[in-house]
Amino acid sequence: MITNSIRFKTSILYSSILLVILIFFSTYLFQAARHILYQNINEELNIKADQIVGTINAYGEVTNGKLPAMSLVREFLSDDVKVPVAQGVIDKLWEKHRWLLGAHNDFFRIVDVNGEVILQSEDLPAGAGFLLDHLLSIRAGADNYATLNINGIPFRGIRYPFTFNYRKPYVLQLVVPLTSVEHTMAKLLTVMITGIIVTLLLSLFIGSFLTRKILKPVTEVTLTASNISQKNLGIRIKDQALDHEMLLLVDSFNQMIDRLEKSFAHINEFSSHVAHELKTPLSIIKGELELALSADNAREEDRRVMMVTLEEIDRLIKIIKDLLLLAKFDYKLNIFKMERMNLTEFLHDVCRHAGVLAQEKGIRFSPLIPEEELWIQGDPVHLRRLFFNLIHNAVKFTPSCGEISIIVTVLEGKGRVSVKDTGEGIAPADQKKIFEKFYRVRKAGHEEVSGTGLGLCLAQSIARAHGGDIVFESAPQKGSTFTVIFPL
Amino acid sequence: MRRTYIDRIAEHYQCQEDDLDLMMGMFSRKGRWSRHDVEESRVFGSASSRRLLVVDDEARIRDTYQKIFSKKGFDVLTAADAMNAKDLLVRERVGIVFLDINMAEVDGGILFELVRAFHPGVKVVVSSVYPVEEQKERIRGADAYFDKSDGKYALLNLVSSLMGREEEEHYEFPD
Repeated sequence: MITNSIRFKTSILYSSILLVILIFFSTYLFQAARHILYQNINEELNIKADQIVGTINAYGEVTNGKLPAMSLVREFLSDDVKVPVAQGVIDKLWEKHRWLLGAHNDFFRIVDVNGEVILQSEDLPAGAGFLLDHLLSIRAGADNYATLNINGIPFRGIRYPFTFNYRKPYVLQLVVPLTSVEHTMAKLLTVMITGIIVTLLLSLFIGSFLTRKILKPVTEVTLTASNISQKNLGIRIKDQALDHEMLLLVDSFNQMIDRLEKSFAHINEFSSHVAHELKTPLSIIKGELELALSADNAREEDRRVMMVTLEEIDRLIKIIKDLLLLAKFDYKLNIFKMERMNLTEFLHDVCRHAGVLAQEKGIRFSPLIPEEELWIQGDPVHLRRLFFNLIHNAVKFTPSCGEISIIVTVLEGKGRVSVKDTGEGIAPADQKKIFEKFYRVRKAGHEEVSGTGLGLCLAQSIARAHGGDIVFESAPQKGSTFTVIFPL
Repeated sequence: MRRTYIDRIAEHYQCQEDDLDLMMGMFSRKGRWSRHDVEESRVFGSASSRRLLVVDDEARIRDTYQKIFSKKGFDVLTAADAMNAKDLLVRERVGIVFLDINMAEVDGGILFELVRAFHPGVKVVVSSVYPVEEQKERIRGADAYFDKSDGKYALLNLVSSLMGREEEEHYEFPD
């Protein structure tokens, strides 16, 4: 996905917001769950402590208020019932006892006011005693509940002060393992994280899909816009079933194309008129000069003046014609009438003319056109112009003993027609500029070069209008090769 | 038949039917031919006639053409607008007509259609400073098209080939 796009930014934006909300929510839920679970543990501690204390006091009552030694309580609680009690009571107590000692994972201690341990679980681990004293201290005012860690296992403990037989104060320290709570919390955490990830991915996916749908008009507008070119300025974007904002955009766009179309037509018309107005007086001047030159009674100097004038007039006329053509390439619709044409046959024709031109200057002409037929989409009139320009240049810059050849090859699915000459070549400094309008190479030591400087510019425009291009290779004194590339 | 042809011309060039009718009427009234005569007969020109008609609203162009062709032994008639042109056409037997398509009052196109209708043997050369491609679009079916800025020698070559003769003319500059 492109990072600089609306789609990407929107997706990231709302995904981030969603993520933050989910995290906050999850954290809150997590904490709440932990709180509730701890409350439950506390309740459990309370109930268990209560039961233990109740059992102890009940035992005290059963022994008729006589103060039994705690040692007897110890015995009682450790499964040794030696004191005779009424049968029914024993059963009831036995039940409680069993329930109490059924919690094998709990530990407890009963401590008196002096810190002496009266009774404790048999399997209470070694360092636990210290922890119990520290966290579930017998001091009044200490916290009733605490979380502690015994040998790596987390426990929750209660400090439960009680009086035995209504007189002696003791403190019961009871701890319950938190493994189940921790286990639950871990599971909850996993579920939450998975849930967040899945939700996020889903929302990214769905959101991206939705955004694409919303942005579909934009894509369509872009596609239509890219189809609008000189060839079909007539296309307009449809504006039914669009949202309001897009409607405004599309309307503006269509209007813009309207204006563009009008501009093009205007420019085209204008340049046509300008060319017309410029050519008319030039034609008149040319006509008169030609007439005057063909008369016999002109003086030598006058003849020279008239000839120079005529040449320059011709040049002006050619420049106007070429410029008009270039303007049409840019602004007139359908200037190129493309048809399926046989390039090979066309080139044979071109070669005939080229041969004549070369021969006039004494240049050897050798075409190298293969037998196979190459078919292209092209406008023969303008292609003729293109090749004429290239050949004309070749003839102009090649001396009498030189050679011009036309070579046709096919490479990578494109036809390549090269006009190669053994002339003076193009200096590196000039090479960058030869396709520019009006650029003409100054022949060293000779007079002004003829030509308008527009030939290659025209040739390039024509080549590009055919979906191809012109490339060249040249070195001073080694000649030049201009290659026209056609898609086949 | 004549009526529908006029309709077509009027529609094609979107000109006033009155003007056209007037012209048509003048064809038959001012000239030697009655309306009836026009339908029955034609004034045929022939290509071998050495009489040319140049129709152009620029005086200097007419002048230049006249000089060029007179020197070559042609008889040159000139007209500055379509009205005068058709007068001449009716009275004189002409081989070739040079028609400028951008004249002020009556479009050269209308005159073209009229020449084709009433003087079928006459060759029409559309002449203009517009490029030949554009000329072909404006007027279809002419015998030749000429860009005035191509000069005297191109013009003479064109005429020779129209008349079926090859006359070679070259630029002759002293070396």
